[in-house]
Amino acid sequence: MRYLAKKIIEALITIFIVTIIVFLAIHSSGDPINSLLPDSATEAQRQELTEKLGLDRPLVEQYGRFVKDALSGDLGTSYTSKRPVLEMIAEKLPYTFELALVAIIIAFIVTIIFGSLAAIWKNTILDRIILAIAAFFKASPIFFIAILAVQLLGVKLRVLPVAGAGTPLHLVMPAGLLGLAIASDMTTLLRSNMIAVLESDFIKFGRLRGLPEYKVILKHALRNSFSSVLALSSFIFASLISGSIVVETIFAWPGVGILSYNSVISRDFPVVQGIVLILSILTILLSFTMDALLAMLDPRIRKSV
Amino acid sequence: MKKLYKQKQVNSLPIVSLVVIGIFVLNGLFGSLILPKDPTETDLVNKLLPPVFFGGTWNYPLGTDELGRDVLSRIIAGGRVSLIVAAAAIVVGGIVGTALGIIAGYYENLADTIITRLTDASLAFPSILLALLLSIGIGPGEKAAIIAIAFAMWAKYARTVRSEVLIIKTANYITQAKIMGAGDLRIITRHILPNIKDMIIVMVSLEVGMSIISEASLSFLGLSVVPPTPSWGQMIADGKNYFQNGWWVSVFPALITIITVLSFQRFGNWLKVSKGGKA
Repeated sequence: MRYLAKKIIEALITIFIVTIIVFLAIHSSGDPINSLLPDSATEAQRQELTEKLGLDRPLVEQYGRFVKDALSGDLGTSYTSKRPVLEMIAEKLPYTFELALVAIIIAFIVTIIFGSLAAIWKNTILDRIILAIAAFFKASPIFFIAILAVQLLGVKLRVLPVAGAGTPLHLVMPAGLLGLAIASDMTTLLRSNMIAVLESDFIKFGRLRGLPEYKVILKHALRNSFSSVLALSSFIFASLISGSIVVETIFAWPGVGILSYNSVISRDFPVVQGIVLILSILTILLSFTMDALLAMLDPRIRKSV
Repeated sequence: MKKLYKQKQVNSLPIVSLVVIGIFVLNGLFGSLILPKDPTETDLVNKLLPPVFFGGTWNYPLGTDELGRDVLSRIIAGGRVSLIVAAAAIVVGGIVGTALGIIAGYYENLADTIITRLTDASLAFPSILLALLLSIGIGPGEKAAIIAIAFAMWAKYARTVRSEVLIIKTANYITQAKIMGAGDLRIITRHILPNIKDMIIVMVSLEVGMSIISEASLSFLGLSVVPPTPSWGQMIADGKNYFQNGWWVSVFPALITIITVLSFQRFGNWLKVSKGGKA
């Protein structure tokens, strides 16, 4: 319980820091009056809007207002579509969720299978191949692999749709590539952790007791080494969100990523701010959930307060 | 016996990687002197010419892009952007992260709490989102890319350095130095920094590759350098629409990126093992 309380407070502080970062970024992005009013606006009109938006108030007060508005769901209005930002993001969010969820499931499956195989048969050809593929994925810009995949599977072989959403087939390439990209980091980590665990005394003891090898590996080695991969959850979710922005723009996946890309191009500040705020808070909440789950699974973490 | 075999195998000096890294650095510094053509000069008559071994001419060894610009010259010029952004981001992120990590680990007071929270916050903050924010704040460009990548990186240094300092400062010689009246600054510069130096060098060498990839991703999204200045990520992005009749436009810059990043990773791992870490 104490562990959970500590994690909740930590998550809240982190969210607080994020709101400050976003607020300062908005603030340093220059005078919004120029983008809101036409060039022909008079000095009096400028003055009026400045006061209306509260831009003449002290910074702390402006920050308070920003948080209050954000809490009540008011993230401003898009410059280009004139629609509420929250509504625009809420429309796109389910798509990004779908993509991210499938990608993370793929990443976990790939990591567990190939990370374990590489650890069990370390320094064999199989291990080398797995490590080489992981290194290749780590060293390749994900968008380039995506371009190749589109050319091969979409254009040449015509087995998968190259863009858009709708059917499960549309998910295969974007979610698959995103999952593999994340798995490349996790697989090498699981491998090295599992090699260490497999050499530890309790595994030797389990074998001496005559436990079948599959039980030793699945029940003891995998469980103990996988928690160290999960401990990286905040990092994993951060790369998941970053990666999905890239992947969405390539596959025209109608999620938040493509909305953010288009908003940057059209310099639609409020939308970009809203996306950054919501996605970063989501990342923090996700890693908090992961931490809580991890603590439930592993008593050592609960007691490490 | 097993151990001996392993060491011998992992720790041969990665000559190929070093050569690639050498070329990458030299190209970034002096590449502009050997540019065969102007990388920004368009020539629509000669657009999408194939590379020399695929039916092209030596005039454009790696072919031309959709605007008739020389791909080779653009790769050379783009390498400069990769080097500058990666180097600057690592210097900024590394120095900030190391300094904060030392402060947090050495003093273990309120500053530590704040720094640790900030570290967690930035680790959980997707770096591309920051790049998005910066692109509206200060506008897309090298500066935005450097800050975004440095921000994504400092926390890793801070976290690792902090945990290392926590261990080092309990060593007897530090206690002795304190008893002898050495000030904090002296202990940090004379005793702690030399002890974490190797670890930082290893981290830097492993992070260069990641920075190059990050810069390419940001360029690809139009959040790093803006055209006409070429960068590898941007070239890959441009080429994706012409892949059928001009695969070379994106494949060559992508191959160069992958080879460069792999070399840095290989070198970093070699360094890590030779400094006593695990591969």
